[in-house]
Amino acid sequence: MSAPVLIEPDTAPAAPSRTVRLVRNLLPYILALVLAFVVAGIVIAVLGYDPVEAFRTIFSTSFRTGFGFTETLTKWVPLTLLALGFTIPLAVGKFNIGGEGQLIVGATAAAGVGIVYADLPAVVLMPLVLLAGVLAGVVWAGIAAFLMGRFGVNEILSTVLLNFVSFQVLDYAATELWSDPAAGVAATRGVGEGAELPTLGGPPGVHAGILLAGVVALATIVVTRRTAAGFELRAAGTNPRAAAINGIRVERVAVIALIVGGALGGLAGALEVAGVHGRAIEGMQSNFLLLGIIIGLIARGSALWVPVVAFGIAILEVGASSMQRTVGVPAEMVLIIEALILIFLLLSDVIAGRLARRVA
Amino acid sequence: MSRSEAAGPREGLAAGRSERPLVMSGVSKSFGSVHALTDADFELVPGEVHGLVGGNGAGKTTLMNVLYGLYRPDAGEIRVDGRDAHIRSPRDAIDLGIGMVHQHLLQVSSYSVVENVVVGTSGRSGGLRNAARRIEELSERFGLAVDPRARTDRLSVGARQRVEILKVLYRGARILILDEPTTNLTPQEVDDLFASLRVIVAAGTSVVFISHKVREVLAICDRISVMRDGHRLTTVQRSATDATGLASLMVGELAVEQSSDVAAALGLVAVGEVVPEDTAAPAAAASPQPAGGTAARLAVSDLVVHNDQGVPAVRGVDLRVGAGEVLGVAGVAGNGQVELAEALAGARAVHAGHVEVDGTDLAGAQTRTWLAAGVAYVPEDRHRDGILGAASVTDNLLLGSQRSPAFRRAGLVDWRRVREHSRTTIERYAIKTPSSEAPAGNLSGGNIQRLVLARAFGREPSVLVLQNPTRGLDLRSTQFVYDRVHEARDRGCAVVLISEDLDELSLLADRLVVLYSGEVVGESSRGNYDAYALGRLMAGVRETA
Repeated sequence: MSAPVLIEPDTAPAAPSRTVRLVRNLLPYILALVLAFVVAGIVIAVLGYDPVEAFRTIFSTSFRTGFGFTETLTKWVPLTLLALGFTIPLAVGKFNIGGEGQLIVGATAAAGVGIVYADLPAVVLMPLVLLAGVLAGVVWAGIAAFLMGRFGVNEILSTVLLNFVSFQVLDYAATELWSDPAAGVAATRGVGEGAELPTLGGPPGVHAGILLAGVVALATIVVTRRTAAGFELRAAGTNPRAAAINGIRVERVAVIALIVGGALGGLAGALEVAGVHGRAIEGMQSNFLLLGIIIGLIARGSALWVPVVAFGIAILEVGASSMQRTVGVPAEMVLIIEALILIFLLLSDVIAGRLARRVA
Repeated sequence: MSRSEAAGPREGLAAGRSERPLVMSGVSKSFGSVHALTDADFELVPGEVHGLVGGNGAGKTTLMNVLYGLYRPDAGEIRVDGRDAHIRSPRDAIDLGIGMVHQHLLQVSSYSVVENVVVGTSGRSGGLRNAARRIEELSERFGLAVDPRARTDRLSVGARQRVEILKVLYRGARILILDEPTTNLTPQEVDDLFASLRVIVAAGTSVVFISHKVREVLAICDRISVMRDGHRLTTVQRSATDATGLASLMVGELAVEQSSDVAAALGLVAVGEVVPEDTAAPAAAASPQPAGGTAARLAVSDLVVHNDQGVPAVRGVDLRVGAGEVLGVAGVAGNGQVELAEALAGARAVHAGHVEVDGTDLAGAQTRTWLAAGVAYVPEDRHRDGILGAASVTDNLLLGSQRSPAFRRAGLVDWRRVREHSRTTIERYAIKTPSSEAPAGNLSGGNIQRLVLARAFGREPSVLVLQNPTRGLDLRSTQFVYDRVHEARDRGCAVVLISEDLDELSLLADRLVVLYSGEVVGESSRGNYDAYALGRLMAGVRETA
């Protein structure tokens, strides 16, 4: 039963060169991508469709048409924000599984402000709408953060459960408070003109919220890499004991990280209202939460890679529906591909670990 | 000391069996580019205590881990009882009658002694009750006093070690490997262990005694093999060597006589034996002696600290440490040392009492405040508490100073200055690392300790708290730590050295207190250290006289 106590060799191993490291780091990604598509291709072929045609459609949609590209960028915004909302708490080992709840309350609050103060000019109303979304996300994640910091309630549990509560909040707003009976779906009324984000480029063009999302992504990179707070976030995540002994308040860092994650979710909700739908709609959260987690994990929590991976996933997501239309393969196949990428990537970790041990 | 006369030659016992129980030859093992073992050989005769000595990295533990199936050798062969042995796992080793007691005891703490002994044995021949009876027999026969029904986590470290030895004997081992078995024992417990070992070898079992304490090796071993640089240098009969001879074989290029620190680190000088006046004088004279009347830099009063379970582990401790004074805290592990160390470092909440540093009461303050007040801490578990293993050496050197104005520019961390600081620190403290960006967790123990010390000293501490700072370090790194302690003392720092190594304490400390069950049970000043008196205090026997 006694586990082996492996004594480390007394000398530090030599560091591999930069290129070797880069190849070693990228190789699992490339392999995982290729394998995921090979397996998905086999499944598509077994289902009786043409895998080559299916993949061609997926990848061409985003780049062949201006509409496809716009849609990809539009999807990129909530995906990036929710992925960052997941990875920032993850850096201290906390799992924010409440992204969709935070998005929904953010959207509801944003829509509420946009409806109630519909007549205000854009200069005043737009910041208010966005702020309302962010604050709602902060409150929503703040509940989980408070329970975690004060009573040690597991944040996975609380954030997931708060998702369900958020559905009811939106349902109340969409069917009672500001309901729009003419909409055909459970949705609020449209927000005032001043609460709608301008469109860039186009037509069709992408809403200006993408700039804000870009700034947030950039700020996340700067904060995590260049500030003392980011250093403390990383330190607390790497070794909470050593971090605490060296003066970092690990609990507080975790609470703040979770709240920041909620703020990003809330912002995503506000941008969906102000930039895409013009109102809050039930089901608007789509599967952003799941995708955000997949993106965050594929990017291995790196703020630098999240936007890049999010873009790749957005391409797949947008390509999925046109694949269904033109080739007939169910759009859900894309979700399978995304999951396969992640699984193969995680598998490569296990294999790399085995190999490393073999060498040692 | 006391048992050295009992260690006579035991050739007579070998007569019954012509087979050597163990012959290892040509064993090599590399970890990446590091050759831990090169063409090492080793053999045992029946019924001997065979000392395996050498500095850290000499390969003694690696060699025994190969024998126990924890490492697979790159080359070499092992013969057990004259037959080729292919040992691929500890299971194979156990089946061959080889047992190993590790330095860090691996036990299920919520299990009873019996359960810990039988766990992993095949089948349940007769159930736990029979097992308990056999354990009682074994413990009586070999003088390894242990209650089979006691819960393991309620036992002292010495008793838990006896459980491990019983486990090996229970499985019928013919070869017993003990890796640094005396590290956590009081002098009395060491004596008991040695007495048991004599009975064990008298029954024909061979014992491998891994140690770096010359004194203990000479007291118990029949033959001694010296390892250096991954191979066996030589094997000597106990009767054919003495302390100085053995020590110079071990350290080779280091001149033993000239460095009293190293001599003490090796356990060459016994506590209370040489330390008074003459040897201690040069070191002591170089330092500003703490004047009795001066204000204490560190004043602890009525300190109560809870352990992780919320049970008081430090119960009303008073300490005063002056500028330039080294206070040693002796005691067997698990008597509140960790809690005391962490409380003094500001890393664990003070439940009651006061900890004043230069007159400021820090009890209840944030860890950051303690650091700012000049408290530096060298934790016992370097890997767990000292470093961010996955982060770079640079990150680790910055840790704790990330908000310092010295490393800030325009509100951001000034990484250029941080890296510069990292490079100069690595050079000054001779930290052996492939680069400043290499993960700190990959460094060797000695270099991790250098890193931790470098960080502590970077804060120019007024109070330095160290716990077992040289555990597992080789001689050079041990000397390095001792030099830094001297340096801190000479700078006027108040040093608290919490250690289980009496040799180390008697060498470095100006004053010793003994911690037992969370209380200070005795105090002794330099020159009056008596190993056995201290040992009694450490074991909880109150002074009667």
